[in-house]
Amino acid sequence: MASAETTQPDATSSVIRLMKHQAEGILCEGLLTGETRAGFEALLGTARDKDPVLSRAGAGSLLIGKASDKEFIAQVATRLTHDLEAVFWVEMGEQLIRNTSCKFAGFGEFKRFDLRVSFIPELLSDRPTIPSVASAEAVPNFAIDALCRVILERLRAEIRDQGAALASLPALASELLIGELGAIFPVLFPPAKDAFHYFASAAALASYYAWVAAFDATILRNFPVGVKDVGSFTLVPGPTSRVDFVADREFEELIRCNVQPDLPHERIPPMAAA
Amino acid sequence: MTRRGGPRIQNAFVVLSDLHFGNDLYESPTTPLLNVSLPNFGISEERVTRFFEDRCRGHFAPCVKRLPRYLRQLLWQLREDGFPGDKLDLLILLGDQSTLASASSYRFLREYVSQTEYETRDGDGVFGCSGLGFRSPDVLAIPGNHDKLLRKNLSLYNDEFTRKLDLAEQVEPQRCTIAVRRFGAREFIFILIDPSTYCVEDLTIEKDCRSHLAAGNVGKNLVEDVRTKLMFLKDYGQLDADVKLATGFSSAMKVLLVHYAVDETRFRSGLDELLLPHGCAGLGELVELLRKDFQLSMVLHGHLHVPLLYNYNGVQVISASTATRVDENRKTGFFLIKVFDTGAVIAEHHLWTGIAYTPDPDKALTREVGYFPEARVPAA
Repeated sequence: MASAETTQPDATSSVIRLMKHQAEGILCEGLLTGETRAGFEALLGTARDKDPVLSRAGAGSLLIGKASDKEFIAQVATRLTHDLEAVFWVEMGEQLIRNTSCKFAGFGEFKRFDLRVSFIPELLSDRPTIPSVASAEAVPNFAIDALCRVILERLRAEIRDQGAALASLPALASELLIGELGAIFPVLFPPAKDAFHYFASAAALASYYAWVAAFDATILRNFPVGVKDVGSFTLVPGPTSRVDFVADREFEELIRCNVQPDLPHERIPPMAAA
Repeated sequence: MTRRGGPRIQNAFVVLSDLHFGNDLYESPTTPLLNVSLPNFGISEERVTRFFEDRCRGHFAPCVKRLPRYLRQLLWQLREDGFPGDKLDLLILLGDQSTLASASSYRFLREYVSQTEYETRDGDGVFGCSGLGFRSPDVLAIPGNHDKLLRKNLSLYNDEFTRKLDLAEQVEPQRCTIAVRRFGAREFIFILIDPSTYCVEDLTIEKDCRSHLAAGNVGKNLVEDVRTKLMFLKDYGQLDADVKLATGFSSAMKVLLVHYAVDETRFRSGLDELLLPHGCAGLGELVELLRKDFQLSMVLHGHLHVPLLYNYNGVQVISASTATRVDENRKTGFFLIKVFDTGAVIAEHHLWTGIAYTPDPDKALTREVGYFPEARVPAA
C-alpha cells in the first residue's frame, strides 16, 4: 500500500502538523505544574476524553493565564526543540526512502541519487525575509505565522550582531524559541475554548522557524553542523555558496537497507570464496 | 560479523516491551490524559498522581516511525551474516502495549504490528509510517499492568488486540498459556503468564489501588495452571492438537514471558517503590519452581523501563526497556535475540539516541544469555 505521504510535495507540513500535536501535549504538561495544577486536575477529573477538556474554556483560560510565565515558556521551548529534532530528522530519512527527495521550506532539499544523499540549502540569509511555511490545512490563523516570522527576524538580527561563538544547533534553536514564544504567547488572546489549538499551532510554527534559523545561523558562521546518526553539513563559501552534506555511515546503511526491495545474500569472505 | 566456518545465526527474535501506544500515531506522548478523580490517599496521593502523569505518557512518534526501518536494517545485516530467513522469526511483546487500554490504541497497535504500512489522519491531513509487518503466528504477546489499568479484567485487551490480531495465544488474568514454536531443528516452549492484580470496578480508583496500579501477584491458581500445563506437556508431549512438541521436553528451550520484574532488587527504586509498589509477589518463587521442576532457561520481562541482563538463581533474565517511549534519564530500546547453530543464544541491545536507533555501546547489554540443549529434532 502506498502511503499518501509519497504524494506530498515536501516534508514541512508533516513536521509542523506533528509538532502541533506534540505541542498540545507539552502545553498540557505545563498546566500540570505550578499554580495551574489544581485547576487543570479538577478539569481532567470531570471528563473521559482529552479533547473535551482541551477545548473547554476553563482549560483555555488557564493556558492564557500562564502564557507570560517565563519558566513555563522556557520548559515548553526546550521540550519542543528536543521533539522537533527527532521529528525532523526521522521525517527526512523517511522521505528519502520513499520519495528520493525531501524538501523542508526555509531549510533546503535533500536528494538521493541511488544511495548517495546530497543537500541543496535554502540559505535564509540570501532572502530579504523568512519565507512563510504555513499551509492552509495546518494553521488556524495566518496572523500567527506572520507574527512568528516578524519576531524571528528581530532575533536573527540580534544573533548576527552578537558575533560570538554559537551554541550547538539544538541549543541555539532552543534559545531562539524561548525568545519567540516569550514574545508570541503573551500577545495571543484567542477565544478561551480555542486556546490550545492556537497556542499549539503557534508553538509548532515557531519551533520550526527557530530550527531553520538556527541551522542557517550556525552554518553561515562556517561551523560544520554535525548531526549524530544523520550526517554533517559544511558551508563551502563562494560566489554561490553551497553546503556539503556527508551522511553518517549508519544513516547510509538505513537508507540502503530500506530502498532495495530484495534482501541480500550472505556476504562471502574473500578467502571462503576463493 | 559471522563468517563461513564460524557460528551461523539460525533464528532471530525481536523483543519489544512497554510500547505504551497512545490512541494514534500523531497523538502526543502526554495524551491521553487520565481523567479520573483521585480519592484522598494521604501521604501517597502526590505519588499516585505522579504515577498517572509520568507513567501514562504514550509513545514518541519518531520512535514508532523509525523502528520498522531499523528492523529492516537489522534483517539486512543478519542476512549478510548468513541468517537464512527472509524475515525476523518472532516478535515478542512483553506488555504495556497500550499506555491506557483503549480500542483506538489497540487498533493502532495491531495495524502497526501486522501491516507493512500504517496510515491515519487527523483533522488536518494524513500521517503514515511503515509497519512491522509480522504475521500473526509470529507474534507472542502478554499484557502488562497498563493493558488493564483501572480495568477489572482483560476483556478490552483481548477483544481489541489479541483476537482482532488473530493471535493463537491469549492470556487470561492469573492464568498461563503455553506456546510451542519450532524453528528448524529447535523447539521453544514459551510460558506466557499474567500475574496482574485487578481493580473491582472499571475506571475507578479505590483506596487499595496501590495493590494493582503497578504491582502484580502470582496467585495459587496461576501457579497451579502453570504446573499442570507444563507437567502435561512434559509427560505427554502435547497439550492439545495445536500445542505439541516434536521432540522431548528436555530438548526444548523453556522461556517464561512475564511483564513484571523477577528480581526488583536489581533495579533502583527509591521512595516511589515504597509508596506505589511495582513488584510482583511470588514471581521469584514461581521462577525457582520452574527451574527445578521444568528446566526453565530464561525469563523475559519489561515493566521497569530499564534494560538489564541478570541471573536469578541460575536462570538468565532479560529485562527489556521501553522500545518506543522516551523517559527522562532512561534508555529507550529493545533486544534482538539471536540463536546460533552452535546452540548459543545471544541478546543484543539496541537503543534510541534521540534521533535514531543504534547498537548499544554498553557491552554489558550484548552477550551470550543461554545455550540451547542439544538439537535432536530433524529439520522440517
